[in-house]
Amino acid sequence: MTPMRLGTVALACAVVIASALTGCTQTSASVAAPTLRSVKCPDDVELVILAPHSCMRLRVPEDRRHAAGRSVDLFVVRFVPPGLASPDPMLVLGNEVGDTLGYGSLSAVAERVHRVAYLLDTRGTGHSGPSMACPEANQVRATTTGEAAALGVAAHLCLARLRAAGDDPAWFGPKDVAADADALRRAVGVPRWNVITYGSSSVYAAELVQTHPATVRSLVVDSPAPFASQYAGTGATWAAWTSVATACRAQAACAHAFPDVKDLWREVAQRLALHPVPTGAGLLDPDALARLVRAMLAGDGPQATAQVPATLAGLLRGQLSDEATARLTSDHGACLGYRPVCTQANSLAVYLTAFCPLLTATNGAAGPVFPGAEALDPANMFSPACTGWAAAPAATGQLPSALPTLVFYGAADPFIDSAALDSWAHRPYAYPVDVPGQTHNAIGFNDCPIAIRNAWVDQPTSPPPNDCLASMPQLPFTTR
Amino acid sequence: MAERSPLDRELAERLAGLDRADRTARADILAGLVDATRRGRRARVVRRRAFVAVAALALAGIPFVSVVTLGQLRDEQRPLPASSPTTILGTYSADVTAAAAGTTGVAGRWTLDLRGDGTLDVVAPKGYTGISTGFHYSISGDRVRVDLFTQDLCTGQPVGTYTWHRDATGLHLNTVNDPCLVRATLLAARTWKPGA
Repeated sequence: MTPMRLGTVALACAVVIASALTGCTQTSASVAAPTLRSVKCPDDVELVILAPHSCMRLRVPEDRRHAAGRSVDLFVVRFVPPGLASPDPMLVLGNEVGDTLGYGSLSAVAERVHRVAYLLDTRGTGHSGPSMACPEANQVRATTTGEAAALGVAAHLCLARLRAAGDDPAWFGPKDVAADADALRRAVGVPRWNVITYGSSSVYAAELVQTHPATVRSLVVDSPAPFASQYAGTGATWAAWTSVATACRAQAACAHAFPDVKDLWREVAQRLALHPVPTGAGLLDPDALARLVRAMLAGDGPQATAQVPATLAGLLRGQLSDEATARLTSDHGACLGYRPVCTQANSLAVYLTAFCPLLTATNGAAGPVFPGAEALDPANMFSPACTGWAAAPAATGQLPSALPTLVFYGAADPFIDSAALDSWAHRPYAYPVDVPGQTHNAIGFNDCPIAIRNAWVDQPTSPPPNDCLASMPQLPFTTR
Repeated sequence: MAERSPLDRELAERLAGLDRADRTARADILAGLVDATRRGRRARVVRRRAFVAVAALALAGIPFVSVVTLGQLRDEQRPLPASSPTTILGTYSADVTAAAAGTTGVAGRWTLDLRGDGTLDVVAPKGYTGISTGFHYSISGDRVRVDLFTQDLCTGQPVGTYTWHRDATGLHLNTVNDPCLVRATLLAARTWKPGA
């Protein structure tokens, strides 16, 4: 190579690197340059990951309107696949909104899609600081008397504390998370990547693909939250229960054990209306039952879903299962039945910021008519907390029409309905995949949907290879 | 002027030709030298400009490159773990009886393939419906850490730690610390015989 060519190449490289560093698609003088640095992985991360990985922190402005002000520190885990990695890495853009990432559960993503994978703890959650957790609400649970009012008080105490510390939850909404994701993309120097979300973090992806459409090669959403539609509440739960009851009747052992399976929930609710059952954390009444049923339908995984008939039958006999007791006593922040996953590692302020508009909107979807069913509509529960909360909801515009999108969902998922699905589908390269025998997190409990995802990411403008769905296992009902 | 002989004319023409060639060659050489000098100057200018550009870029990009450089984030090929003793590498099988499995759902024949790149391939019994891909192990002395079932049955729990030794009968694992009962039930206190 001649010196001239060397010089030209050097200049070209400099321009390319400069473009990558400053952002080919978006440059804003008002946003300070993010700082990406390698850090030692926290001990709790090392405890759950064996795949080769490294940890980083990305510093970005907390309030992008005042870039010189406070900053937030975003935690990132990077995985490298064995062998030669394909271009266009994979970004895992958070978990359920407000929840900490399952670092161990996601540690095989890189090798499965043979791409470098980045896990981003979205701002305010997990190891990203400052935390938007609200320990004030830890004692507010489904069996708490006056739960909605108690949640409202706890949420506003949390809001006041966070604001007094200089951190306003209004800066922790989907728009800022999407901007964070793009800052990470620029900092690691990739022109575009593939994005995957689990559960309600799909609202972050919706924002990202609208604000930075050219940077997303493909999008995978597993059990997404409604996009530009209503909260999937009572109607979605009833549809999921109907699906499970139908599946039970189709299996001889289950049908034999629970001949009137579809009526079980109604019968138990009517009995609890007269005789609430004491638990370790208060009384189980029809409202708490409805939320318990919804939570169990959502998982974790089909094993939990398949326990619902037996749990209801046990309650008819006056017996509360260990699983049900554990869920009722460990509830916090009014999670049970309103969020799909209830772990202690949740940042309630982030959740309220993103979802207050959806939670408090009236949903006209039809549900069952029996005691407790109305408790599945979140409006009553969240109105006190959301009143005065500076929400920053997700975008409700149009998803890019040509964006390749793979949408996984399970028929037993009580957190997704047809309106939610419609909001993600109906585009040329949008492929909804109904995963038989699965519930919320439809890709998380069987190799088949994982294999479909892996293959589709390589050719995202083609329909996914769905053959293995035909041999998916049925719901593994327990009959005792 | 004396007339030249044919030989003289030939010699004269050859000498003239040589002279022309020499002049041309010298001119070519000179032109080449000038060109080379010009190219050299241009290359130096280009190199200098490139250096200035890269230096400016480096200064402007200090917040990025001073901590994590793009070179560090190359999609590099993952090397084999140097510390993996080859004695544990290989394929092993074991049968888990229904009595031993209890309610864990792991009854049946399992095959483990401990590969040199730190991945653990698993062949699960036909009745097993959970995730059986994407697992890893790591070795440190007589300890092996395993993340089997990390995505579903053992989700959110630390990876399991076992002691290991291999003898003529196969691979033996004993629990040091594993909060996940299903994983410990499958792996520990049995002989993993070589082969599928």
